[in-house]
Amino acid sequence: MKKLGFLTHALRQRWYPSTLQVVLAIIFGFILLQLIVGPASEGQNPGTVITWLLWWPLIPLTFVLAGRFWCAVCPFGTVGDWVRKLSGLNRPVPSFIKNHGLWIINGLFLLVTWYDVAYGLTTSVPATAVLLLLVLIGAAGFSLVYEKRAWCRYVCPVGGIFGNYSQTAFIELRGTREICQDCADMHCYKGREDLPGCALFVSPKNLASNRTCNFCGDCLKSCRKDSPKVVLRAKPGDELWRKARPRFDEAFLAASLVGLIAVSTLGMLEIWPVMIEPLSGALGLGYAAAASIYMLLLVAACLVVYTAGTYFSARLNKESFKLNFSRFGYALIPLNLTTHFAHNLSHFLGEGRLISGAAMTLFYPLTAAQAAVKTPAAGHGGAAGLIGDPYIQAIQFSLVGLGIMLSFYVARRVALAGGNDDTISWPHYAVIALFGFISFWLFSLPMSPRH
Amino acid sequence: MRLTGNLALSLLAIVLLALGAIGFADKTEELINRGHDQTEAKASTDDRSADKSPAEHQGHGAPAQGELHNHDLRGQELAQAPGHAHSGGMCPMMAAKQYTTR
Repeated sequence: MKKLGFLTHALRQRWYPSTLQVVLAIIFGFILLQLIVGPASEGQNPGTVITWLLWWPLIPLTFVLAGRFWCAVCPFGTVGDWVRKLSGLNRPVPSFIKNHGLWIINGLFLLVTWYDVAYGLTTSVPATAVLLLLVLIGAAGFSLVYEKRAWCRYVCPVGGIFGNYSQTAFIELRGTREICQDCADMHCYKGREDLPGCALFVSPKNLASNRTCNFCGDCLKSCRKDSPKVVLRAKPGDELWRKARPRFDEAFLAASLVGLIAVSTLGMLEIWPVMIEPLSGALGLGYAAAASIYMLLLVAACLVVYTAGTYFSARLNKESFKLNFSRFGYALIPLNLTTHFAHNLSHFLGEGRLISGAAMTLFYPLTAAQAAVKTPAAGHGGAAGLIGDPYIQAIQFSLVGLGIMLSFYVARRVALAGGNDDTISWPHYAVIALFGFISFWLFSLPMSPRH
Repeated sequence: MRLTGNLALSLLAIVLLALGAIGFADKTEELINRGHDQTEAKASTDDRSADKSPAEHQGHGAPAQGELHNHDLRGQELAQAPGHAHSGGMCPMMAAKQYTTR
């Protein structure tokens, strides 16, 4: 592992992360203001465009490059920090939240995705405003009552979902073992004088996963012994198969994400209305009900397929089903990440020009911006696209291929790390291949003509 | 040597998966188009029988500007549904895309 001295040094500075926090909080304030008083059309409103066309598509990339760095500068967390400093009660986090945090995250993310699939979140200015306000209230409320960043660690859906991806990051922050093992001060965890300890309730001494580090730099500043360091990982993602205690909830999240990404991709395709029609026509269901049924079916199907793979691997290695489910779930994370990014990238690349159109409303309200944004679309990747559809599809295929290969690799390493022969991973190769096939298929299908 | 073998096998599997998926997507597309053609033929018959022009018959025929060509989805609800491919869903960008054609 190569030490990244300049990053370690940067994270130790007084201006970090507060300066970035203030800048992003101002941008967030502007976005929220636009959502409340700006144009009613989602394609014109800088709030929806910045949120759903720029931030949401690109955010997974930051988690791969720099783990949960975003969480350190996230405006919601920043507002929470301010609230806690002003009038926080600093109560300990209830054990229920500590023990079931990721299930809360899973539930919240499913709920938000369901609302979007059934009623439209990203297509609605008011709904986007309400979502951001709810998250803001949640972060501020938790910070008002509980100590540290309880919201970010245990409840935030964005940090929670992308926290899975952060485990594949290229960098990590860890304590120096030789220094930490004899240290009784634990300033990194408890803080000292006016310097806070770890906001995510973990000491670098015991830090084993990027999921619980947001690179806020507090431990670097508090430690008098210069122990925590930012390093470039020799094998990014190796924590996926080196888990001392693999978690069932993280594996469940990884398996269900396959279905959620698939349903969100389906919603862009010509085939989607063809699928909806029988349910809405024959059964007389409304759109929301039909779309909800498909979402539930897809998520359930992915869980069933993964459960079947786990059943066979458990029979092969004679270990418990739960342990197999938890361990091999991490093998799905690379495929989750690359298909999610492929999905998001198609929006960013396919419609990226709309961002500049919406940005223009800042300076030339409803004039030049309208002219730019109202350019008739010539299909996906047409007038609004940064590059053409074939290029986008080639990138998507490459990403899915990369995801399958990395997931194969992680599945094999998981099997070997458990002291087993790599034949244990064969059922999971089949699961990964099936999920990969579905992703290739979805990215091969024609986009909706007006998409 | 073993790593090279595994890598080659993985690449082969990925290429086969991709080719299989592309073939399957072609078949799917054919099915969509066939269904679409049948729908349009039926729509045209229905329109004649009802003595209506395609433009008057909601959801059929060539869409008027700003309307959705909704593959015979019945009723305005489907055409305007948030998760509908033409108008949104989780995909952030549909919103903006939809706007471009307004």
